[in-house]
Amino acid sequence: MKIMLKVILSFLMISGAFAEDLTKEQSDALNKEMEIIKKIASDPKIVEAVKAVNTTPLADYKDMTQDKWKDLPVLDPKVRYFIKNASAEFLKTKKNEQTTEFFINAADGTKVAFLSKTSNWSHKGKAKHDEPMAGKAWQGKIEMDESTGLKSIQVAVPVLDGAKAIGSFTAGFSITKLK
Amino acid sequence: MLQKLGLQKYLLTIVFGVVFLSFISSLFTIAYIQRNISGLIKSSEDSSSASNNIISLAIDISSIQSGISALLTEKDPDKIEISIVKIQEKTKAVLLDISHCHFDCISITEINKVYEEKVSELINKKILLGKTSEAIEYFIGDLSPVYLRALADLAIKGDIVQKNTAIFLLESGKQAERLKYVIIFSSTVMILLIITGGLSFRRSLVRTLILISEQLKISSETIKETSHKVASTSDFLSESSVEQNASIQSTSQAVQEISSMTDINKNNVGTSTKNAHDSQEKIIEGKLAISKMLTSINNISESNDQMVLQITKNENEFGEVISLITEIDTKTKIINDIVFQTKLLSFNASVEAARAGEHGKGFAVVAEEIGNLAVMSGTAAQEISSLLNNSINRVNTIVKNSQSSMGTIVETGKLTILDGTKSVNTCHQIFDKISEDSGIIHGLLMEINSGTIEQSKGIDEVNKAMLQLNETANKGEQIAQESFQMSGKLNEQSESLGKIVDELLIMIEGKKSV
Repeated sequence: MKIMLKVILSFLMISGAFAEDLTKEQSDALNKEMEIIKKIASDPKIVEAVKAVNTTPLADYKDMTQDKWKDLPVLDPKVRYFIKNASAEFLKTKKNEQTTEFFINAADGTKVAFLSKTSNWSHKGKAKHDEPMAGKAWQGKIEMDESTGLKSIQVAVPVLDGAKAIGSFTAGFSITKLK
Repeated sequence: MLQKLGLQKYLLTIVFGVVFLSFISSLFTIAYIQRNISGLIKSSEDSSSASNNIISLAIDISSIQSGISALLTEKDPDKIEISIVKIQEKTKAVLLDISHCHFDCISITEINKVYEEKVSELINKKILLGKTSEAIEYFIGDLSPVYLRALADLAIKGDIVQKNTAIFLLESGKQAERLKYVIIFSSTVMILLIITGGLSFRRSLVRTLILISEQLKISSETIKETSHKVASTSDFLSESSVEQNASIQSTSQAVQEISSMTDINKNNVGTSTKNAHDSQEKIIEGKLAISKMLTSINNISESNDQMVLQITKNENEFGEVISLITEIDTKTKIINDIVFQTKLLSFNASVEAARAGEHGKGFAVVAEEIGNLAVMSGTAAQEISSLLNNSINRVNTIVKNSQSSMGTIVETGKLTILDGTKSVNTCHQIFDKISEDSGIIHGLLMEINSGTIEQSKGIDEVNKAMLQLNETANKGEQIAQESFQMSGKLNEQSESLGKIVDELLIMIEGKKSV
């Protein structure tokens, strides 16, 4: 039974990753969401929060690694900080029913705020962070998101201080609700 | 038999026997029914508890399952925390249900253990680490089958309980049928026992009743006699109580009078003590005045001595005056000599003037005048000398007289001062003695005062005791009167009892006892 379920889920995830494309309606809806997240990323609250972390990295997280991050429960104060800080509260006001995920990275790819615990502590070296840091927007593929358990698509935009990219803002949207 | 016993007695015997046997028979039947009903209730309760237990377990496990289901997609940490606490509480409830298990719980215990481990694994290793997909997979693949197995097992247990209940109900029906026959049989036996036993019981009962009636009659007589004795004793007690009460009241009045007198004594002693105290103060003031007087006498004595000194000094000064007068007398004698010489010179001048003739006439007049003046001076000098002699004599007389009178006065003053000092010292000693005696009197009065206060307290206590005695005597009198009344009632009751016994004997034997 367990093996069968794993096979079915793997099949669904793989088939979701390779076989599915956005419909035109979904693509239009995603483009609209993209404009919205660009506005969110340019909000002074977000920009100031990212600048603050870039200037003074969070002291409690200086020894944080990917492995340590994965072992942290979602109720751990170190995780909850990013869900409860002012930027996260601001992000909560901007989410809608299509939203599955919001997270903001500092320049080094570490976290500034998110709606729910991310799979990785740092997204440095991953396209969803590196491309926005190069000043470009990024769109991923349809995937089964490990942190939400839903089939979704992610997009990312730079957080700009004037013309300079100082961080990245990634958003995930539910495919079934993206209309 | 009816003539002998009387109808009432016979019927009473029959009714009593029937009631008694019915009671015994009912007790047995009720005990038997109770036993069956208790078994029925217990089994019913067991079944009900088991069913409730199974339902409760199924509900709690389902709650956990639905709680986890909601938790899988929850992202708000606060809600996650609350949900986990609820799941933990439900898990505790399941454990509690299992601990109070009313059915065969071995298999469900094992299932629950596995289920609990898997729930813990799911929450701690999947949900809390944010591994939603893994959590969903684990929930569907690992946890839910255990949950379903638990529910299935509970359903089986429920079926077994239902089956057992049905079997029990069938058994209960059979038992009820058996109970019906038991009741019929026991009723038949009871009726037979009533008929056979009632007759034999009646005879012994009648005999016993007769014995009891005779005993009651004797007791009634005894009570009557006793009540008479109690009445006379109560009467005597009442009279004694009245006398005692009167004595106590008179004693109480006497004690109250003594108490009043003691109060007056206490007040008098208080006043005397105060007066003694005041006297002591006055004595001290008197002693102080005597001391001051003694000081004044000493001062007078000193003044007297100083006066003597002053008189002596005055005498010396008078001596000096006499010396001066004597010296003036001496000087007056010199003036006399000068007067003599002047007269002689005047004579010689007149001789010479006469010799000068006409030219010496004026000079002769001057010489004559000088001579006249010398005569006048001599006369005056003699008068002065005479006055001086008189003055000396007069002063000497005054001094002598003064010395004599002042010596007498001083001597008299000294003697008077000595007497005054002696009198003052005597007075001082007398005052000391009075002060000492007054102190003793004051001390004695203080002791009397303390004694009077203690006496007053003692009298108060006696007074209270008398009041209590008075109350007790009143109560005694009251009790005696009540006792007297009760003895009257007892007498009436004993007479009434005697009549009842007579009636009872007529009823039992059909005739009045002798």
